[in-house]
Amino acid sequence: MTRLLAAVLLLLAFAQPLRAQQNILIEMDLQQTDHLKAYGVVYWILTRGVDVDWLLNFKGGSFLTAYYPFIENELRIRGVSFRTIDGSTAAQIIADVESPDQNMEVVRLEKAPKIAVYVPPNFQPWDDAVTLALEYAEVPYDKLWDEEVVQGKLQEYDWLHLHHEDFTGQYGKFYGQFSTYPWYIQQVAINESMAKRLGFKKVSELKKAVARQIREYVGGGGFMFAMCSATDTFDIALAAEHTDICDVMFDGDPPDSDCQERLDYEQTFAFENFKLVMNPYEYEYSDIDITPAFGGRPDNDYFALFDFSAKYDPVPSMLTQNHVNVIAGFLGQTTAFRKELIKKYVTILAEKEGSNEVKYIHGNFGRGTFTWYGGHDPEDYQHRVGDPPTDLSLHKNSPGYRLILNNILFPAAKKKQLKT
Amino acid sequence: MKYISILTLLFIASTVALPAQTADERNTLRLAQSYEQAGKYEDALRFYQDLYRQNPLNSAYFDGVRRSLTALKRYDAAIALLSDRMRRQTGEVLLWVYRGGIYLQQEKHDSAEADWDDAITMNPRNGQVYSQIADQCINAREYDRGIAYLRRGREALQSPQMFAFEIARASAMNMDFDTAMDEYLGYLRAVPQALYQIQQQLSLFSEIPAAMDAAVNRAQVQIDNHPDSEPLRYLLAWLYMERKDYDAAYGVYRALDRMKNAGGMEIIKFASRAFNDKEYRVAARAYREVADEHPDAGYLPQAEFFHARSLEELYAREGMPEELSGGGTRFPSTESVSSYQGAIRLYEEVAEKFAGQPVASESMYRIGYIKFHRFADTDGALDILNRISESRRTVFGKADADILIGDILLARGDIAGAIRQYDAVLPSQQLEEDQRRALRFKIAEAFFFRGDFDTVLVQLAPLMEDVGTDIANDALDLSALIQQYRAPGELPLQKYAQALFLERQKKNSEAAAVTGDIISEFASTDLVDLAYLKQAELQLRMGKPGQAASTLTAFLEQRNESFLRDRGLFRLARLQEESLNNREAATGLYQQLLTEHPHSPLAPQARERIVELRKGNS
Repeated sequence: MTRLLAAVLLLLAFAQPLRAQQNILIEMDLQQTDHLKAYGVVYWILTRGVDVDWLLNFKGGSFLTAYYPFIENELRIRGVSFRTIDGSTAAQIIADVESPDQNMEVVRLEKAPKIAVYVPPNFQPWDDAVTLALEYAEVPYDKLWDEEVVQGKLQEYDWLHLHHEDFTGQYGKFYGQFSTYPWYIQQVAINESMAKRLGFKKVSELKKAVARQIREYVGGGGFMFAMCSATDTFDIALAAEHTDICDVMFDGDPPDSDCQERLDYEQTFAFENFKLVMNPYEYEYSDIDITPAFGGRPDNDYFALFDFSAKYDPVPSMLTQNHVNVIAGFLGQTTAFRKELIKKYVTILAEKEGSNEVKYIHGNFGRGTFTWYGGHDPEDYQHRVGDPPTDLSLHKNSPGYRLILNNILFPAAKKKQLKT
Repeated sequence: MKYISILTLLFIASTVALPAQTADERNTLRLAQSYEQAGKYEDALRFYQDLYRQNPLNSAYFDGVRRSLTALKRYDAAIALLSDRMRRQTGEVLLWVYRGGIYLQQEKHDSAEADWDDAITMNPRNGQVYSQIADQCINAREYDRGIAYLRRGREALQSPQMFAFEIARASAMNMDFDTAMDEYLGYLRAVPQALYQIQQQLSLFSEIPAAMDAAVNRAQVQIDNHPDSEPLRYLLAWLYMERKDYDAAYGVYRALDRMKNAGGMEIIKFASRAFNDKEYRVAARAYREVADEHPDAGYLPQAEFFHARSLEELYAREGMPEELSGGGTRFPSTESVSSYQGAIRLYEEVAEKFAGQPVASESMYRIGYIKFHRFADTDGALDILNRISESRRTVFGKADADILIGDILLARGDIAGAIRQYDAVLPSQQLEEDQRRALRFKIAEAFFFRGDFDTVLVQLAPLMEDVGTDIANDALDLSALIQQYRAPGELPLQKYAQALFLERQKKNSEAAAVTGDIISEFASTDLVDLAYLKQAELQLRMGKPGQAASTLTAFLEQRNESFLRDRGLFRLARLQEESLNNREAATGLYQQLLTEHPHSPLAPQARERIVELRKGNS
């Protein structure tokens, strides 16, 4: 009997490959050496067909995966700190996280989402924090612009990021300051040419069509992430479906005098009852945005992440995973959203405490979701036209950039029955 | 633009109308204007209409009503207003233009064209009418229609260049760059002074490749049709240079030089720009050819000198230029260093040919520089620099030559002589503050080589105060080296300084031997780590990568507690990758570095190298 037992134990021991029960824990708290690359590695692991557990609220939203030498090697190469833990330790962590007493949860990530970034052909490096983050984290993505969107190519992607863009057709409202600059003139010529080629009389009409396509994409189950002016201008364009809000220098004719009254807030994702800024020389679209009039002060500009129940609200929890709760603010053409103009069913993920400035929101539309983040570059407080792009190797632990990257993993999550 | 025009017209109209106004009217008008400027067109319209009812002959009031109705897109009302006015003011041609513009907004193209035809018939030789009609079209993004009216005006006025810029701009906005370019080129032929203005216009579209391609192609076609046009060629050359095609630009300048009978001056202008833009190959060619073709020109000394300078820079950047290689035509190769010798030969020719002129001493300085830095020929370099020392006394740049003499003395082992030389240059007015700091560092280094560490630290102290300067890092490094390794005894550090001094003198094998002595004699000191790394570096420089790899391997084996171990791993990995072409070993070493020293400052570089090796780039 003893011999038989020994033989069985021996067999069991050899049935598992060496270190098979070991796991890799990528801690995302203050000890992590490179938070941003960690997201890239997790994405990369998913592309290799290995599942990853996202441990919401456990040490800053850590990741747990099975041990493989190639994963360990990749983590070292990308400079992401990790711990190798044995099976029982991993099981204990999972048990702790899933314990009903803890505001933590395990979310299984299964599939690397296919990512598209909406980028114009005359893309400037200062334009987009998301592209910077994806490049730094080594997450692959495709670039799309109006032509591809109008042709319905969006359906091929799981996740869409909207570039710092103006969907109202007012060319970023840069007219007052930059109308004589070559880049502005070229932008106008290229956009007008594209609109004409695609059969639209005006650029604003083309942009509305693009916004409609994106709405259909989200309604059909797509994940949309937008920053800065791509947020409010998207909703403005949707609301302005049946009216002309562009002044003569943007589209060749005056805006409708009653355009404000003709805005249809039913069409929008996140905002309602907003007032348009009709002065074509003013660098602002509407009263949705709250940007400090004189540039703001980085030393007292912070926003706080809301604390969600990981078990009952896993989606907002995923989107707010971070190693800090209070994050340095940053400006943009659209810096923050005015709270009283946000629709009631939209979830506020972060705001400037004691004010009506909302920084980060999330909502559902049809079968898909949208997540919008105010500001331009989380590590460049007052990013100006022509400034060089931020070097993210100097901001490996940026909490502001982490919020962007939470979004790319969120579509990878396996849908789970809510604990009701 | 239209907005500004409207406001300007508004102001002019209001000032014209003022004399006939009562105080009430003036106040109402100001109110209306304020509302209009604030974009509150409904309110503006109300006040303008009041005024217009009181005084229907006042054109300012009428225009206010018309503008407000248009801004409010009340096109039918605007048309009615204009039609009424047109019945009463039959000669006011702009009314027809404006009404046509409103019809265009309503997409009633026939009506618009009928109004504009009437406007033109009323005054067919008034260029403003065509221009105003085109403005209406272009502002409505009807570029083709606007261009057609401008062309019609041009024909009617029999003025082929009229509206060239307007047509070109509208064509460019329509992405029709061929037409745009033809317009600019036609204008340029007629008005050569417009070259700069046209360059400015073209640069608005310089980021669109199709625009630049079209510009070059159309310029070439126009030159074929008008071979005598100088401005066309200047523009083509500029376009080529914008596209970084300096060879093609040179061809254009050569043609210009011939056409203008400029005696090479056009080529000199081009060569100078090419040299400044670091386009040394084409600059050298241009200087050579112009010197050969114009041997009596006043610019010959400069051309000859810059020819040599271009070739020297080209060799430094790209390797041996064809002209200086064995296959070249002027300076056959004689030795392995034939290229720089070729450059020296050119400088000698310049110095001989133009003795007494500034280019002669400049050439001698370049010879000294090459002999020292490229050939390590200290005798030859000193000889030539001393020869020009007198003549350079009053010449700008003397300090450079004197510093170079100090460097050479140091390389020859004459530390005292070098310090004397540097000290003598230090007060020179020719030195910029950065140069003076660099010179102070050279003095500190000389004392270091002598083993006089206390003096070094005194010399370095002021240099480390301003951490914003370039030299501060070097000063901090040297200071840290001394402070870290001079205890418990100074002998090992003195030996190490000796090795560095020999290295400075390019006596690599002797320097390597001294590092070997340090390793064997002072095995218990930390300085041994540095000695290993330096020895491997010297061996690699001597072309012995196998020995260097053995040294680094020995270092890693013998000194496994060294805090420089990550550096040893990285260097061995680089050596495997670059000199021994063993990518697998290199990758393993980089990974070892990441595993053993994840927080090393070299870790990011190791990661980059692994990524590159995986891509197959090394």
